[in-house]
Amino acid sequence: MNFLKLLLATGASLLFLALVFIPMEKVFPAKPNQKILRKYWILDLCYFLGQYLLWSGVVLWVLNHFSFWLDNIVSKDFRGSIQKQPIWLQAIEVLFFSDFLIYWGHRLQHKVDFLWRFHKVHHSAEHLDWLAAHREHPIDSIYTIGIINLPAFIMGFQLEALTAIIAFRGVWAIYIHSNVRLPIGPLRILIGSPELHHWHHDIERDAGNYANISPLMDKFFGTYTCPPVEPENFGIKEEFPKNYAGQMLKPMLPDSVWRKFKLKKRN
Amino acid sequence: MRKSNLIKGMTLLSAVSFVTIFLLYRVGKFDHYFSSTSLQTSTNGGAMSSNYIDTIPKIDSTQKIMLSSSKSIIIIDQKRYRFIDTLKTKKTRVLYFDPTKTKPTEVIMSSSKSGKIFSPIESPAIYVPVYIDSITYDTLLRKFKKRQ
Repeated sequence: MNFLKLLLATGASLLFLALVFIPMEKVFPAKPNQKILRKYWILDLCYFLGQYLLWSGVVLWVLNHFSFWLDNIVSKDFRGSIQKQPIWLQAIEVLFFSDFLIYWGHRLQHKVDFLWRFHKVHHSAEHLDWLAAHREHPIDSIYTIGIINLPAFIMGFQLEALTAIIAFRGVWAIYIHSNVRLPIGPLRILIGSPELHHWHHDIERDAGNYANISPLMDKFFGTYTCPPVEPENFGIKEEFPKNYAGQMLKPMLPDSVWRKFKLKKRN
Repeated sequence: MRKSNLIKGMTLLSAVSFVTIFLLYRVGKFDHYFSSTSLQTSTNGGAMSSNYIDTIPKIDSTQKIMLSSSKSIIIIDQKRYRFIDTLKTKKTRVLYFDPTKTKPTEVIMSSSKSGKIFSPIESPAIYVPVYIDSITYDTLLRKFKKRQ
């Protein structure tokens, strides 16, 4: 792939997101004192660039191979019977099961220490905005995107049929991280909102609101929370590196190796 | 107060407009206007007409089935296709996609953290998006000419 084209696409994406979200964060701020160029914005920009220029390609490659591997496991009869259903029914099934799976997958990320190692990179952001949404370890991306797409892979459902919904969900996932507070009333139960997801990023590790986009799963499984104010602090209680290389490396290394590495660096 | 409401309304309107335009763009509503862009992500996983440089519309007869089908692919995976020799020669083959198998795709549900906005289209080896000569491109016509 032409690197220049990739660079152009990255620049266009950054410009588009800035045009959509910076005015929104200025006019409808959840935390009015938070600046656009707040602390660690460069770190989040590194994540943004890393995702677009490198990791998303790796993630897509891994997941395509995973889906080919699944092809050999899932029976043709099963897929045939799924594909006999009307397309709208298949679409509803795919969306429902991916929401169901990612809800439990996400809860596990907060419960199981091994998964939390990678997921806490995303939660280490102490300021939430549209740029901080991109702070994600590539292993976490493979896990999350893999689970979200698992029903489509198993059913053999072609996601191109849902291009508009998928694109909307992508933008909405960034929106719920943005520093915006714009109540949408009862609609938030269906599609989620920043005020709900900000509470998921509360400094407590198990604050609730684990659903991907729609909070219906949280309502159903009793993890829905929506206090009327913004959380006081975002981030994690654990000690964690504040730079890109450190945040990429630490989850991959055993704690003992990381401690030795840090000690060596200090000396 | 009135000024503040006006700014709020304008901000909201511009954000909604940008997102709406983006969604229309992603589903391919502006293909006609972006003939030279490389930013378009195909909605059917294959190369789009906007990537063709030659002004004369043309499709290889041997690949017609695949191009017009919603089961078209980006990457060739030899194990996933059966080859049918249309001219009883080794070189001319038609690819059929097995509908029970997942095709490689760029359309994928993004994570709960963020979605990718624009991604450049990869030039799939199978499509060869630059056509120099309309006649020589078509495998059947080319073979016919060769025999003559």
